[in-house]
Amino acid sequence: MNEEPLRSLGRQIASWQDEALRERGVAAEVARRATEAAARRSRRPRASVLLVAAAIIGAIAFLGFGRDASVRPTPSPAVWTAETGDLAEVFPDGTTTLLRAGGRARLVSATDQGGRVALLDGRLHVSVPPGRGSRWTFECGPHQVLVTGTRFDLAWDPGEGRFEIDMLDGSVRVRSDDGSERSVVAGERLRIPADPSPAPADDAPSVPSESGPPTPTASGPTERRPAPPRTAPSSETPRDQPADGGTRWQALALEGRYAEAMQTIGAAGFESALATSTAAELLLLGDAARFAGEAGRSARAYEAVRARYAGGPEAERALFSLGVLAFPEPRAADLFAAYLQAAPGGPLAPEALGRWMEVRERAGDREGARELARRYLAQHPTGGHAALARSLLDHAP
Amino acid sequence: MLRLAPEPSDEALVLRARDGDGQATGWLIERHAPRVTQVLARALGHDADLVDHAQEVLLRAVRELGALRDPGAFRAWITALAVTEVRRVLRRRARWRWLWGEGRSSDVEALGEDRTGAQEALRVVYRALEQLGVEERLAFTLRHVEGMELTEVADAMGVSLATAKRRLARADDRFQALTAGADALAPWRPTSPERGRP
Repeated sequence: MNEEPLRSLGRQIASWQDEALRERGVAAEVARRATEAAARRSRRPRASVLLVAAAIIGAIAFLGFGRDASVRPTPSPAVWTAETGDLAEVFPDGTTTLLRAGGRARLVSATDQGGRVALLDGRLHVSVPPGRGSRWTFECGPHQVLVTGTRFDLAWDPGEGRFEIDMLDGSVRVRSDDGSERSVVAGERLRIPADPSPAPADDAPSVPSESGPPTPTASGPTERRPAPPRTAPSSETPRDQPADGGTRWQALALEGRYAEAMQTIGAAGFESALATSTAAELLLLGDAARFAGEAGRSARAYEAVRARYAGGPEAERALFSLGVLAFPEPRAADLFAAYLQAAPGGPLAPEALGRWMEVRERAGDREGARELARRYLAQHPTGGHAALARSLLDHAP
Repeated sequence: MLRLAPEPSDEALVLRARDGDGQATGWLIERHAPRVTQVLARALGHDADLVDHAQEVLLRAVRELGALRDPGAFRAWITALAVTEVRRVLRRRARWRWLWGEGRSSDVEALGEDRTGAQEALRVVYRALEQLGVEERLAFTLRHVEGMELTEVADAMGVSLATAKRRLARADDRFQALTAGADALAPWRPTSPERGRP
């Protein structure tokens, strides 16, 4: 076969892509970020590494890779310190950050549609308006929070290496230097504890870290927020329990080692846990099974919560999780609808309604999806699914 | 602008970087960031996290420099690392598409509204590539879009030349079948009625 037509098409694609990459300064951004990250790992004195980074960025600009005017240099000084109270920042895309008193953050870069902020210490509230194409990254030591439109609270303790994100709306991805990555959706909280044991000597990379916070086990748990006091007897958080005996699987799940957790609990242990665990433990079990790819066991754990804690907020969350488990199959629609009926003002209501809309849209039910889109925009005009909702309505016949 | 002259070879930079020379590490990153970015963009198409994926490849290269047996082969080695990253992303994309949803914008939107023809052609191409297996997609994009020689494709994918050819042949046939009726690709459609690989 004459492959020239395909190669001609390929060359045209490459040309378009290169043009787009140049306009966005992608290669320069890649080099800058990689250089900074490599510098953080390096044993070399930081000043010399940063000098090299500056030279590299200059060279990239000289070579034309970085000919985008949208990435403006970090203003100096770029470190925000909330010494006397909360410190608010408003960005051109409408994103707002609120650095809580005592915290420190650094603006690494900013464009008209996003940027990169390093939380050096303390707590940061973030609100990124969805539907505007904004892309933000928030760095906390070895962890990166990738955001397109959402609200969350972020905390970073460099001394202890403790990372925490509390999702209020939408979803984010959290990526860590060890390559682990997970999603955190509205109503969930992710905590990544520090690794108490030092890295083995023979595991040291060629450019090991010398300064900065200790590297956490970047694989923390995604947990449900603690239940309100009225359900206190059933909502003790598993993370407070000792990691021995029957709670070994919990420790593994809380470290993000979901497959190992499910292997550890085994068949007999799973049945026993279904019968004896608290609501929080069952939700953790359901999550661990879900992240381990064991849909059947995940569903049984969530169903156990619904059966044993009917009427409570844990049962509502289990219902939502069952919807996530089924998503995007059509039956997920019934589960999200049921969640919204049970908890119309619940913390997961925007996400449930948005996903319900997505299920309808993917199933080809355009009219049903548009009806939900109108409802979504009326209730959550700045929610994580607002852009999709508007898109559905814009394309209405 | 600052620029070291003459530029040291990859081999020299790798050896210096292995000894902990941060400057050499920086130059390796700067030199190969465009290449890594291009390989990822070709194979992945639109990906909102392209910068992150490219950064991951470069950092992995820095971390694993000690594993590179031939320092002079850094370019081929980092290309293979980029291919590994593409495999990881595509497989994760397939697993989690239901969670992340489809891409809602295209990289080519940066070209502006006057390039709607380009946008449509790219959408058709990458929609078709979504239907290919990961290995076929890689073979297709490395060969036709990145413009690699077949031996380079084989090296990057870590397979024999014969295997690379087989994958490319399957990819070509499948791609042409999937895009047979697409008006956006009409300018690049073979004029000859002959189809199939000899």
